[in-house]
Amino acid sequence: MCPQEISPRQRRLRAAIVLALPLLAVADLGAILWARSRPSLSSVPSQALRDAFSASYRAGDLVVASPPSLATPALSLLGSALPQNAFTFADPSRFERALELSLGGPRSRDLSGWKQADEKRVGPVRLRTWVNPKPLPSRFDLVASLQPNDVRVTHGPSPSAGQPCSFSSSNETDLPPSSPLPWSPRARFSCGKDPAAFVGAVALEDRRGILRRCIWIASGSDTVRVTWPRVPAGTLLRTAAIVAAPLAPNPNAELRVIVNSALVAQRQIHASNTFEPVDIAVSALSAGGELSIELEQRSGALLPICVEATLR
Amino acid sequence: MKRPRLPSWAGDFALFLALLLGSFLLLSVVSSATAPGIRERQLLQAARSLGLWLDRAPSVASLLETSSRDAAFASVGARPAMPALLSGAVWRVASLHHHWFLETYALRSGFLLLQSLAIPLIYLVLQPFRGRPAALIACALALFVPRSLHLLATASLDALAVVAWLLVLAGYVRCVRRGSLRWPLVTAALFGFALSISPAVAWLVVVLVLHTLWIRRKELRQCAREGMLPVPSATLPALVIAPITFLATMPWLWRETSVRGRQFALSALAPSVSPTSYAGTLVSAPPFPRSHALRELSASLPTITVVLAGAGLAMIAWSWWRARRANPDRSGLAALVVLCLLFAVSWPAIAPAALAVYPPRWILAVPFAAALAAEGAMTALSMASDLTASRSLRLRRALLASGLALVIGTIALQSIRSPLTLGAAFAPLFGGPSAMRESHTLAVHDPSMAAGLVDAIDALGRPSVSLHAPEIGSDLWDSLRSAGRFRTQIRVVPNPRDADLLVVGGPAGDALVRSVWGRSGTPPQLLSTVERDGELLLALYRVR
Repeated sequence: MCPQEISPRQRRLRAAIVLALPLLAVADLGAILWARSRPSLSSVPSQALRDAFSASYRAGDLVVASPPSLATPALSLLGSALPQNAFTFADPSRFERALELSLGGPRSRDLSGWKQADEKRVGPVRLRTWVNPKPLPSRFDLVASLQPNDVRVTHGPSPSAGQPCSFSSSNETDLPPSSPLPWSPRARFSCGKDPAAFVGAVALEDRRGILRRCIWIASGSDTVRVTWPRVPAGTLLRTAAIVAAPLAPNPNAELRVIVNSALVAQRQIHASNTFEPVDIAVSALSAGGELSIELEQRSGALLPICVEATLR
Repeated sequence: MKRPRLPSWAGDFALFLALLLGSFLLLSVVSSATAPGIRERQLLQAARSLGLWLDRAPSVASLLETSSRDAAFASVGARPAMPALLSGAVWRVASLHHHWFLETYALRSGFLLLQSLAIPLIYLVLQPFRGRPAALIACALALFVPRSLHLLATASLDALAVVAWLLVLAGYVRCVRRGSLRWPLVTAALFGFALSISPAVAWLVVVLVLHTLWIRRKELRQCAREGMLPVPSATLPALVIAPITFLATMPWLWRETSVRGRQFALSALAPSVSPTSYAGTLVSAPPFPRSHALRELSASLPTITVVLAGAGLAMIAWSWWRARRANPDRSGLAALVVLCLLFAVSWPAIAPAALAVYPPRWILAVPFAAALAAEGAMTALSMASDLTASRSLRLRRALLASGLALVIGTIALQSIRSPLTLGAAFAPLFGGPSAMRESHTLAVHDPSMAAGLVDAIDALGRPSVSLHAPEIGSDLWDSLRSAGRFRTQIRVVPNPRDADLLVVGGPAGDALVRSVWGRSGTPPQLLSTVERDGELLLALYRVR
């Protein structure tokens, strides 16, 4: 075909197509080079990081890592420099100070609205100290208080859920490969014969990769109730709940909050839930009392739900 | 004075040899840097067993002695023996008697030699119809697909299936074009030989029959009236010649031929299912995800190849629609390419459970996607040539060659830059490994990447360690150790709570690490990682 036979419009279109191909190749190359320049964990000087962390850490600090996909391995770089009682994978709103390990510089979504107090660079890691301008102190951490002396766990058909779940702190039980946890925690309340049917504190991540310590609630029956008979005074319950097996089809569950035998709130739990906190007013607890979280499953398959909750 | 010109066949033969040599060298380089994969162990063991059989035979005549031959071929069983036999012969000379090659490379060499045939065979299939430039572009686009290159550089039954298909197609397209008796005979012999490389070539018969029906569609009514069915011209000779070449290249079938032949046929026609993660779930039984092969293919091809293949397909569809193609050969080849591609990507969707292959052999579609991409590239080159203002033919050619070199250079760089982590090389403009990891669609790592962690295990200075690696076969560590990659004795334990070390990858691995952390109170120590494009693919943790 001769060039003269092409109209100017066709010619421009063809020129755009022809030019787009090498440009696409260059863009592909650019994407490769950009990806190669991203910082890697293997280039982190571990000992220097541990030393810098130990110098900045104060008891009671929240420790976070970003990006979320590298949070677990990045915190593992700290090894024994991370104290056993350090707070990790927790809702940040109650903390006054946080230490962040950022690989490559992105800021953790958990700390939006916080003020940066300090930053150190250790290889590709930025160790930042953050201060919370409006900390909302926690009066009672329901996840941390999941102990046999502090809590009563029952399950059974709705509405009574009257069968007690037995506490054990012996060996873990392996869970099926489809479970998001490889095994149950040692300290747990077993609700039925199924090893996956238990109530216990675990760390799970939601669809966005946000990790939280939460109460795994699963049972062979449709309803589980966790009751804290003596909680201190508080006015606000901050909760977040996710379906622990997000790929399961159409879970339909309802979470109810009961204060001194009166229902104060109920929420539907869907597979699309994330650890986005929801505040529930619990004015009936202004002088303390009994707090229950009840989970009722209405779909055929009984799926575990993980609930994070603190009383403010 | 006019220069004497080489005949066309001599030029093609020289190009065939150059492509074979180039492919073999590239595969050898990549293979040397790639540790044995999880599915290679049995094939490499078979090659070693056949190598020992060749070594222990006192004379050539003794190779025909039945009992020793049967014992040697027991490890091959009903699997095709030709590549293992070639590898065994090379290993015996180059690794057992002399230390010319590393053992893993020597045991792979027969596979590599056959698998490097894939690229020149693409040239042979396409050249008669689309000419040298298009055929060479297709070869480059098929070779520089990172994840397919990774498979071609290891002992892989999937890669052998590609070679077997292309061998038969190279003969078949000449049968269609030339109509002489010679090519049906050659094709029949090639079919028997291809069957001894991969039984997957049996499925090509379905494609070839469909293609014959397509190119003779105008005669179909008359054939039906006469009670005849159009079949490929090589069918009749194949019934006689293919069994002979097949038997000649399968010594395992030389004894108890009917019983073992049935065993071979049954194993070839039986479902082949390896539990594989897809879309966040482990698939080990029907129903298999229908889009797996298509998604894996499109995510594995470089972006430019996907775009060019789309353009090529659009051009073919446009030509058919407007009926502008006068040359029936070219449209016949286009139909063959499209049929092969469709068959390769749709087999998981249409196969009955009794014949299912899972995970699907997506690599089978790569040569045909490359052929379509070459069609798209030729169209773009033709458009560019029309648009170039210069009247100088040389300058035009130089401009076009530069553009083409830029495109090919980019995908070549993607393919050969980092052999250690080729398994994760998904198209960067589609998000690369991070998109795959976040969508839980495809596995982002190949177990052979674990070779990148062994130095850190040796650095612990312990004679033996217990290790838990749920996503990596236990035989990988033995293979790496026997290949001299590291010294430490590894004891693989099924329970992570009994392990000194953990090797994990992906979100499931992170959950395991957090569970171990929850158990002990302190995080496991990160010792080493395998990463690509800022994504963590595998991590080695010290638990105690």
